[in-house]
Amino acid sequence: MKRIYIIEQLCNGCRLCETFCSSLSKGVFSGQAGRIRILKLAGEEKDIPMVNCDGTCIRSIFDDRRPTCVGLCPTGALYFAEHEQAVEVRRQYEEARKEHSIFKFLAPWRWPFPWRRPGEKKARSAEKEIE
Amino acid sequence: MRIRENRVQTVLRVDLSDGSFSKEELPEEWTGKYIGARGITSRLLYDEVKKGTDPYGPENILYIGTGPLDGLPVGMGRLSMACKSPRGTVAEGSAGGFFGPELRRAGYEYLAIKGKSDKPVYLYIENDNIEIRNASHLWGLSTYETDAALRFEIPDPDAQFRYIGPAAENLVHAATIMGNLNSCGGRAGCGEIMGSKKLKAIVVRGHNGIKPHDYDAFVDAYKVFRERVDIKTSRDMWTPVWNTYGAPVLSRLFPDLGNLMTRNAREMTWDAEKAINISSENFMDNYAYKAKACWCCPAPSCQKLYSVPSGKYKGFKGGNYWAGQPIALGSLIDNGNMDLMLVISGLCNQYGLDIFHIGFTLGWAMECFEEGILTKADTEGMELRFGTFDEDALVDLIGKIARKEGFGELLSLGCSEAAKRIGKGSDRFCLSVKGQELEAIAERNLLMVALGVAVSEVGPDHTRWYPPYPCNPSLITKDELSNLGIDLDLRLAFDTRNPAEKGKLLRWFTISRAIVEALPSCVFLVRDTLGLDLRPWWNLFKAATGFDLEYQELLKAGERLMNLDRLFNVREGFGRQDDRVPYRISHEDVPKFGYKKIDDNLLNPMLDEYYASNGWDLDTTVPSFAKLIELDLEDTVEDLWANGIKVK
Amino acid sequence: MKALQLRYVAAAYPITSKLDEEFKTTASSIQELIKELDDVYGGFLEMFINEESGKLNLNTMIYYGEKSKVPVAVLDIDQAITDGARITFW
Repeated sequence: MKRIYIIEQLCNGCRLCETFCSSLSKGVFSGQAGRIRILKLAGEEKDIPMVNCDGTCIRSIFDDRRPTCVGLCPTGALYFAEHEQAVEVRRQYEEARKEHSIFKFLAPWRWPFPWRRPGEKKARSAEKEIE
Repeated sequence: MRIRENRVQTVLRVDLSDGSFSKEELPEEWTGKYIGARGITSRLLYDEVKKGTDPYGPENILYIGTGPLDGLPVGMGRLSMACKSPRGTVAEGSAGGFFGPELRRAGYEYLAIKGKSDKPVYLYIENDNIEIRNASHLWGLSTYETDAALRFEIPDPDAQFRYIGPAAENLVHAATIMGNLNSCGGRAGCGEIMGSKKLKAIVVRGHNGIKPHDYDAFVDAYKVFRERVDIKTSRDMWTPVWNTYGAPVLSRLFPDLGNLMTRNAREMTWDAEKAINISSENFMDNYAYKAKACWCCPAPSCQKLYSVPSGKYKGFKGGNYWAGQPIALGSLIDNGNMDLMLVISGLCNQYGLDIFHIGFTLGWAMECFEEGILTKADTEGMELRFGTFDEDALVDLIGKIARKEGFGELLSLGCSEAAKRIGKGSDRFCLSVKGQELEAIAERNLLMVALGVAVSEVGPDHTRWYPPYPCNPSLITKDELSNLGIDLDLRLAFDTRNPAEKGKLLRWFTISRAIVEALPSCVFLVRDTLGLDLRPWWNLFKAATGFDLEYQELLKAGERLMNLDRLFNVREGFGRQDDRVPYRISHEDVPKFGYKKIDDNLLNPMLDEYYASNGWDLDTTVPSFAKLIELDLEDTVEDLWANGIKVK
Repeated sequence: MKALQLRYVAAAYPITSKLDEEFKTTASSIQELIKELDDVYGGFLEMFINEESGKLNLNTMIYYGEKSKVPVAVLDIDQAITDGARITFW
């Protein structure tokens, strides 16, 4: 069963997830009334997403049933996967962090540029993205 | 929980002299005519702060506000501030962070703060509950300490704050209003005015919801917007860089192009090694540890928090290392030490000081010291030479500037006033216009920047237009341009050293930026079409407010706000004679690169083109009667005539 | 053989893991140089050359500076390169 996992080091506290989630049921953006919220601690030092749902959006804004929050997250801090896949993703992330400093701030599967990322052996064609 | 829509905007007026407050709903048509944020604060400022008002007096009003698109995920938390500057001009600034949406959720779009309190106070706003509370226990605290103290006093983690540091309390030149630790704005004078009113902080908490007029249309427009600003599909070369590595990459690009102001702009290039030291790459590898974003921003890592890993300043933490620091605190004073620069930058944030004020005033002081105009007697024994200075003394000096102590007192005036006090020809080394220091971008290579710096109503402020960093004009096709109704020869306009088309380009950039800041939304995301195509934002505005505005009406709103700022200045007595470039820029060439000084022969035709394309009088820069009618601003004409301004 | 000074800024940095280097090459144009760098580092071709049009990508930039001259932006993929040139990729 897929659920939403988080990589809290990647959360930059933008609150896109929380804001959109709060609007999905009634079309009103109401802050923290959704099922995911960001906890800010120690000034601006820590942003921790707290997920309180199983990944089924009331109505996702993406057609392909991706949870809205996961689809919107700019850094890739949220991902939607089965348990084994989630552990594998976490492991990949920890390795990528050592590879290059840019991965301190965004996930390798959210490599933002249209060209291949360091370590990929062939040119990108299809998006092998983790949802 | 009430549900707020986006058509009618509300002002919360507070008078600190007698502690009274009132709420006022603005006319609904203002949202279509002036949009919001900067658009409405400019209008209110023009109407309510009369000619000759004492900037530090109770009649000066500090406006802090956001617009109809904030509270919705495209507002990016932008916040606009405006008031009359101690320099006499309009003072307008903006900042990011999380305050804007919370203010809207509390039920207000604008705060209009007038009067003065005799004791330090802070404003507490929670929905309909407004209180003016004692802040004497906060007065004197740094911004970080204030944030922590307020967090303790108001244990709601979602309450948002804006505050000033000790610099603004002491009315130091160009002090800023800070929030969310490192978000800052208002260097044109807003911080000083907030300090003069003894307002230490503003706390806001709101529980209402914000509803776009048509949610489905809004979501569709949002998805188009996300695609347009996506790095993968962006056509502009700066977008991928800005959103990941950040602007400090300029420190490695500019020296080759002769764009880097070094040693108080005596030279325009720098040592490659020092440039690498203070580069973005070094910052990302060794200092930055966490990305930070403003509210709902789609860029992954625009801002970052940093920590110094080793050495004398090990463990020092700060945030927001952007384009200004590598130049103002790096090449300008010939400082290649990254640790020192990050410490000074962090201290500026903690004191609420403006880094351009610090950098350019230090640069001025260093040049004066090297020329013998300032001596050790003036500097309290400090040896102030480019590249050679006592690091510890420099770090202490920042605190002295914030507290106006010793040598810091002279520097706290800003380089323009300090040069007036010292005399002896030191004003030749002063890089400022209308009393406000320059910013990070070089003028002699980029002629549009020279023009922009001269005409900007708040003093040099590249945030009133887009810096035309070398870019590719084939980004936008001729067809697209004519569809948008823009009449520009792009090749000529982006030929950075050719004075032709610069006035028209500046006009378009100013209007475009004005609109994006009025919505509000973040300007780092409009580069895909060089800021010339704002249709995605127009669709978002229509879906959010339900106003069926024509695209040309939106452009007019931007032009309207540009004219209101100019009208304010003109009413205060500013004219063409104040639209100048600093002495060095107009008198010295850059021989190594072949860039010429921007003397009157070069500047005057550009000024003429700019004023003419705006419909402003070439001598007085007053907007013409025809232009004011076109922009539905004819109600200002009577006021202008009454104040002795002839409108032709 | 030409000796070039190459610099990698921002997004080019993760691909090469170097900030700058002295590079010896037989390439005579920008296009050939990019192909050579792609063999060494992988990703250069995609980053700078648009697959469909075969021209330079709009969202990346190459600055070409002849020895002791001010660098200029490269707009034409077949631009010639000379010995001692300083080229910045970003």
